[in-house]
Amino acid sequence: MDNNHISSLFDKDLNKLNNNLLSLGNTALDQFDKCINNFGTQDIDKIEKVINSDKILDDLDDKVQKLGFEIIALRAPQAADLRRIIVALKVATIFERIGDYSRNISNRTKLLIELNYSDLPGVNIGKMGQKTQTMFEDVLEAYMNEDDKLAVKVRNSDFKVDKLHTEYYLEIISSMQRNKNFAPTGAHLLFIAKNIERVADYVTDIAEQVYFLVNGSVLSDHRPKADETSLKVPD
Amino acid sequence: MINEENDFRKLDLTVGDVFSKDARLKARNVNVFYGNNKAIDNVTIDIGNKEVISFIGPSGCGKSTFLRCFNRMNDTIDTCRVEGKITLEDENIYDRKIDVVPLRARIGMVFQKPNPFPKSIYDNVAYGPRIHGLCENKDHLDGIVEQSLKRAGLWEEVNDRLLSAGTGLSGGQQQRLCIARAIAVSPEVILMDEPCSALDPIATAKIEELIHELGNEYSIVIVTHSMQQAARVSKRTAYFHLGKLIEVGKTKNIFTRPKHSQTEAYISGKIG
Amino acid sequence: MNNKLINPTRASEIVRNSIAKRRAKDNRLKLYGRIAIGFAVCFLIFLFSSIFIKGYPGFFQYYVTLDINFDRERIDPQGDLSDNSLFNGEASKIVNEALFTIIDPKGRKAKKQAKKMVSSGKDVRLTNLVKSNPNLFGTISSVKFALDDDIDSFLRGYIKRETPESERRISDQIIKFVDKLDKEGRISYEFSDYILNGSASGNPEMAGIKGAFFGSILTLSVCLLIAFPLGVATAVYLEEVAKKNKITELIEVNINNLAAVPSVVFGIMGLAIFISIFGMPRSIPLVGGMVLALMTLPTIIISSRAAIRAVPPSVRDAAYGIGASKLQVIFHHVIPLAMPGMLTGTIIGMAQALGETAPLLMIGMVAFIVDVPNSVMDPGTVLPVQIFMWADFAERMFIQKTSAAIIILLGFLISMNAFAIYLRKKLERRW
Repeated sequence: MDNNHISSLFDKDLNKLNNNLLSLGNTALDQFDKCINNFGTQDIDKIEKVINSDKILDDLDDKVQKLGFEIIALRAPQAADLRRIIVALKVATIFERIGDYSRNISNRTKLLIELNYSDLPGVNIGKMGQKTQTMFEDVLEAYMNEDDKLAVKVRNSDFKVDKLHTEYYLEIISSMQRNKNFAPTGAHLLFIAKNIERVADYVTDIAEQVYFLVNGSVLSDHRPKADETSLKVPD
Repeated sequence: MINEENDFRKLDLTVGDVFSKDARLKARNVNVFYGNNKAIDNVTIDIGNKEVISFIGPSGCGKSTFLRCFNRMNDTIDTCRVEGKITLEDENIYDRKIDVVPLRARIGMVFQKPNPFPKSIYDNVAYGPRIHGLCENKDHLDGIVEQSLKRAGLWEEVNDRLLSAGTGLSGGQQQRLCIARAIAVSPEVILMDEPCSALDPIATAKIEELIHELGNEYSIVIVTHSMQQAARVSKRTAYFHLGKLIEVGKTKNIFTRPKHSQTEAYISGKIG
Repeated sequence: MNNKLINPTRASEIVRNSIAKRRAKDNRLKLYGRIAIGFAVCFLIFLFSSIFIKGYPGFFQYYVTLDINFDRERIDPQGDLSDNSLFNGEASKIVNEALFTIIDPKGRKAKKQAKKMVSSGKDVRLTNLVKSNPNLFGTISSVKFALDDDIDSFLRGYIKRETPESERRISDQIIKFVDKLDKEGRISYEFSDYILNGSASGNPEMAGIKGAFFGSILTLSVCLLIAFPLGVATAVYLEEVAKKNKITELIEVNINNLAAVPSVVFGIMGLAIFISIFGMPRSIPLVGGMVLALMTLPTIIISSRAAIRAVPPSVRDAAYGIGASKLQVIFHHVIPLAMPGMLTGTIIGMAQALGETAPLLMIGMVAFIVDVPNSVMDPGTVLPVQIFMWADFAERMFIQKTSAAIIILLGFLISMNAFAIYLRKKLERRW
């Protein structure tokens, strides 16, 4: 937004919207980082903190939605401005949803601590989490800098998370087949992994929105996918 | 507030926040007649201090007529008659004792068509201070002219040709010159009667930005055909229909969730 | 509902078919217009050329050069160049003597006739000459004197030599004298110094328009000074101040009617009011100007009102909107903007007044006045009346003088209009 509008008020509103959206994004990223770390450290206090902080995201999302609505109603934005606002409204919802997943992961982590199953297979969760974190950070950067190349890169790296998820899924299923006592823990682990995989998908969506923001067209070509858990029965 | 409500007979027609805590102009039960035609029907509204308020409504709804009540421009029309009370800081401007000359110096006006005098840019701005005797000497007058042009955002464009004709400027510049001319007499309120209807979008945007800036210094009442303009520049919006004030409220609310069905219909382009 | 609209192909066909007819109509209209303008231009050319051809010789006349002995004793017996002394001198006699030495008339009758050959203004001419240049005393210098109008007409060929003496205005004797003068190279045809400097005179060779010219200027000045402020003030009042009601409507209608009243009526009114009731003297430019002012007023008022109405209302709004009072709006904005239009109306009115004869006849400005009026209270006449009077005289020479005066009047008019156009352009171009 280097070229200003004649109406300074319009610029002010747009900046406000943008700042709110970025702080929403950063908070969502922070929440996600924390819940992945907490999975490793299993610190119950920190987990609680993540669960309670989800409200911040909801509030920020409300703010962005309201502001975007008002800008559309009062300023009749056009072209890039219109895209920015539409994208902001969509992306805000996604951030808020990512926050929900972070909370869900935290809730399940809490349950896992209660179940207290020794020898928890958590390596892949950490890997998936890290991968997703990197994607998330990249997509925020892509949004800030309006960098569509970086956005496409993020979008195309989703299959790595998918792959990890499939591997992990098969691993947990076979463990559950071998050991009936593992089943409750395994179910939660499956959900946690699935949630992370969903977050990565959302990050991909954001990347696509960034592409739309920059270019005004939808990124349509097929993207590589590697999540096969819903496509075939494990051996 | 309760005293206020006793001041007028009925308010059943107007929806929303008619009153303002920090009111500069107060209109109470104003009726305007052209001969036997009632052009304004029992309108009550406050104009806040340093607030930009816009009057919108379909053509012939009386918004311009009502605007012209505030500086008694309707006096120039023989058949026009105003009833009710309009106060500027607790002084009824329709009182017999009130002279329109000082009143119009306090309540400036900008018209639909840019109407600079066929004089130089300098003389256009200096005219008001000269006739009201606001300037002590030439330097003082120069200062007033410069300041007014700066506030109107025109100084940069004209400072090298102050003595050339005001009518030689572009439409948007002429309108800003008219605004500068109004500012030069240090008014408290500026009335604007469709100030952008004769201008192109860029000139319009510049005037709107100017109105937004001036809103920090003056109370501004702007009548506009363009709902979008009202949405862009004003803090409050008043919707008129057939001489009646239907709804007043924060612009944000009027344009996102109007309370009156007629307002809703008008701003969503279903009547008018 | 059946479709009344014609289909586009058919419509364009109809239009195409009718176009030739319409073009022809257009062209015919253009042709009529050109013919009309052509006629007008022809008339104008005819008018101007006939006036010019007739009037041009009026600026010239025949002079005789005589060798005058400037004897101080005889011209200025008291020696102080006073009017009284010069009047008592023998200027006339000296001129006659100079003439006689050339043509040598024999007998009383011939001498008497010879004396009349030189214009009767000869003594005034001689005394004026010595008054302006006393060094001439004691010398013998040649001086030009105007010839009598009959001789002038004879030299121009209006009075024919072949005509029998009894039907001729000049006698054979005089023709002989003229021939003699001519043979000696004493007669010359020169630019007349009487037409511009002379005033009303019964002797056509001495008649000039100076008195009438200044009379016109004085009368018009009075007229302008009265009619312009009054007319503008009336127009401003009616347009800007007065409420529109029955009375103002009545006034309006009457002003419009007044513009159509024949000018002679204003003359009668002037006679009845200014002269009979107020007891003002007759024949003075003040009364003439007042009468003409009455006549011009409606024109000025009507055109001034139109000019005021043409001032865009937005300017008034702007001025009122900033808090100007009614007076300020009128004087700062309305009048300056309406001024070019007002001036145009005024000049048209003045041009009318300049050419007006009838009302001035009524108040006696037709009187025979030799002196140039020095103030609006001196009796005088005006150019058109002078023309009217000359046209009435019998002498042949007045025909040329009349045409010459018409040319001067036209010149006056054209320069007035030119000034008006200049003034208007200057006022308009201010921005």
